[in-house]
Amino acid sequence: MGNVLFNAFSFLQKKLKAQDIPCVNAVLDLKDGQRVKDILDGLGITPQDIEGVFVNGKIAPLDTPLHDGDRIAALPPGTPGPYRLLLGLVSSPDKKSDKKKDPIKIEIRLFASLAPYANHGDMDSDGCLSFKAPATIRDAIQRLGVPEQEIKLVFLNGVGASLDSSLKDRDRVGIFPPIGGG
Amino acid sequence: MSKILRINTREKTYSFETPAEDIAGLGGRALTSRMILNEVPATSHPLSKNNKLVFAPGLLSGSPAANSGRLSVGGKSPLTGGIKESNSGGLVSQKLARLGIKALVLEDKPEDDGFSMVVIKQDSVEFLDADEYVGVCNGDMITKLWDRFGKRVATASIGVAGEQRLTSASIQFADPKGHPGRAAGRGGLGAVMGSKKIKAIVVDDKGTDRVPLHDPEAFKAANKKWVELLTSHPVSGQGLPAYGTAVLVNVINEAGALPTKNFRNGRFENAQDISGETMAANIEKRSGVATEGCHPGCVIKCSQVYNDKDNNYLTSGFEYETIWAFGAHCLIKELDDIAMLDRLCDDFGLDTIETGVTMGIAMEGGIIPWGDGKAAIELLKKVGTGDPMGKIIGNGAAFTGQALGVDRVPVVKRQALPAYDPRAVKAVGVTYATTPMGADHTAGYGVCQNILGVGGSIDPLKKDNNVEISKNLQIATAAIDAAGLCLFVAFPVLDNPEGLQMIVDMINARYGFSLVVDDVTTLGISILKDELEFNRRAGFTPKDDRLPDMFKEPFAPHNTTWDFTDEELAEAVKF
Repeated sequence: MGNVLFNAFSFLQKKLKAQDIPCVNAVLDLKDGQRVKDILDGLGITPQDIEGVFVNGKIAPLDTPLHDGDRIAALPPGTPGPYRLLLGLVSSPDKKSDKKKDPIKIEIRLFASLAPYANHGDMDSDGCLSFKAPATIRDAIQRLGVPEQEIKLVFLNGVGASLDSSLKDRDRVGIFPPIGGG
Repeated sequence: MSKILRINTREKTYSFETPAEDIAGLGGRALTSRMILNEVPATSHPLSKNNKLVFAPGLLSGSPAANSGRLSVGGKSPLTGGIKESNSGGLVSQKLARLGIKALVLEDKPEDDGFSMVVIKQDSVEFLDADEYVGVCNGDMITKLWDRFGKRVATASIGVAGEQRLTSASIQFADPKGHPGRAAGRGGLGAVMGSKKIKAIVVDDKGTDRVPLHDPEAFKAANKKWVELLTSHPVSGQGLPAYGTAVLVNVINEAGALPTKNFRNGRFENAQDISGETMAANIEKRSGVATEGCHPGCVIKCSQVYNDKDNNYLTSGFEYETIWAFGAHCLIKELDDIAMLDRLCDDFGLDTIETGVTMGIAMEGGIIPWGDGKAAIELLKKVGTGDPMGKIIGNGAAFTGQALGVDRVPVVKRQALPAYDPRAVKAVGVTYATTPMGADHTAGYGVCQNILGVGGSIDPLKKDNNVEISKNLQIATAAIDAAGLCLFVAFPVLDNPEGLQMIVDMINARYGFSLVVDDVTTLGISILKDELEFNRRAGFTPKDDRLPDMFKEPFAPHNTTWDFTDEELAEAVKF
């Protein structure tokens, strides 16, 4: 239990202010065991909105556990400065960054008239596809040869998404054609 | 073939010269540093007839390459006593390039006190009397010069600070809208121009053709990719256009690296009040301009026009460094006061970083209260009156610290530190210490792509790898400065393995060279070697590559100290 101090910067500040979400030196409740990701989810901030998060003044991963009195700040993409490198927002492209190079595996379900595309050789027996990060849902449907114009609905982990949504390991994607009837 | 235009300021004569072979392939900072090394005795007094002022477009300036219109100005610095390259936007670079002028060199100095101006056109180079303009501020200078010589001629001018040869004096350039917001700021090159009694330079490229391209098709193809690269990256394509560099206020504050109250700690409680977000909101409310470029062909457009609360023009080019220097460093939280201080610096022709840090030293020394924006404005105005206090302030942080008996003076090679504390961002601290330029943040900026052979994670609070990073950044930055490119191209290039190749392709297509990406590293290293050699001849030793002892104090919130040894720092300048 306790509080954290929360700030959002740049475009994210503007976006949250427009939704009346406190984001300037905001004191937020912290429940036991909450991580950075949980606070952000609670504010409606998605991973796509974020390039980096500061925890107590250092860039930290989204699953960092929080404690009473911590200070967090969310940064959208677009921060200039060599500080991007020096503060750990991006890593040198030569260096083997774990985030970027590890393969990710996603579960993808294709419904109704799109079901036959799931017979693609790259799909494993669990209905999963493996990628090198970073990847979007569009990468997945292109890999399976699904024509975009046949797609009407896209779900990511049960929530409506778009073909541009980026994927992370163990995501669940659902693809529907236009469905009507009756 | 491009020529060197030499101006003798004593005789009021000029000559065009074919470049010698060893400089024929150089541009921008590569050219200014090589010429200063070759032609200025390193022990000269910077205000004497033996110093030279070199204005050089970059290798790509004048071409259609996006963001290629930057100008390098070089000389021996009256502030540091070492070599200096100051880089600016504006209109001069592209117009010199279109006139086929590879470098413009001011030499010698007059014996009498009369001021002149130099007007360069396609068919003439003229010296005109400029005594009527003495005391005129840079903003009014541009208006008068545009009235007299035509709208949108390129102008370079000094204000009262340069006329008095003060060591914080800048050279200011008209931006495309005619505001005086672009500056060759650091190191007092405005004082060099003042010592040669040149009040202004006008460059008019009317009647010139486009700059010739060796392979127009190849150039067009590379530039197309280049523009796509710059506009699609979130930093250069969205962040900088929307918020300018001021977006860094909140970020660096969050990182605990925003030097507050003369580098005492890394967080300013009023950071939000002086942030880029607040600046952007004020611009919108007051009908300013949130997004504009500093030179034609810029696609990043990180600059802005900031109006006062009556919606009248207050200042342009309102940068993170300026906002920090007059803001968190001085504890001033009123953004409008800071904007007025920026405006006064543009008009008087003063480096905003040096002057802002100096203002904090004045507070440290008890001249004005901490956090008092109105008092800072009144103090700064004294530079404009010739008041002895104005002469102290206008001579920078080290000079003012000494005059007031202050023991916390954040300078390296007598140049004031910029807006990142070295204890919280250690690679930048290495740059401050080791760059030939003095405490300079832009010198170690930029492209790490294919050059940064650093493995492991980069912790800004630890020493590991930070010397290597600084060194590689210094090399890459020097190369970008030689091309005439805006430093902010480094963000997309940093994130894209093909970026450097695009730059190389454009240079090759412009000149018919056969450069490869590795040549960029070689060029960067050769520039640094020239600069280090000049400084060595001028008398600099490794002792000058140190930060002041005040940085050995722990720095909250991370409570780190500056703990590099001389030997560790020396690795950054070993080639």
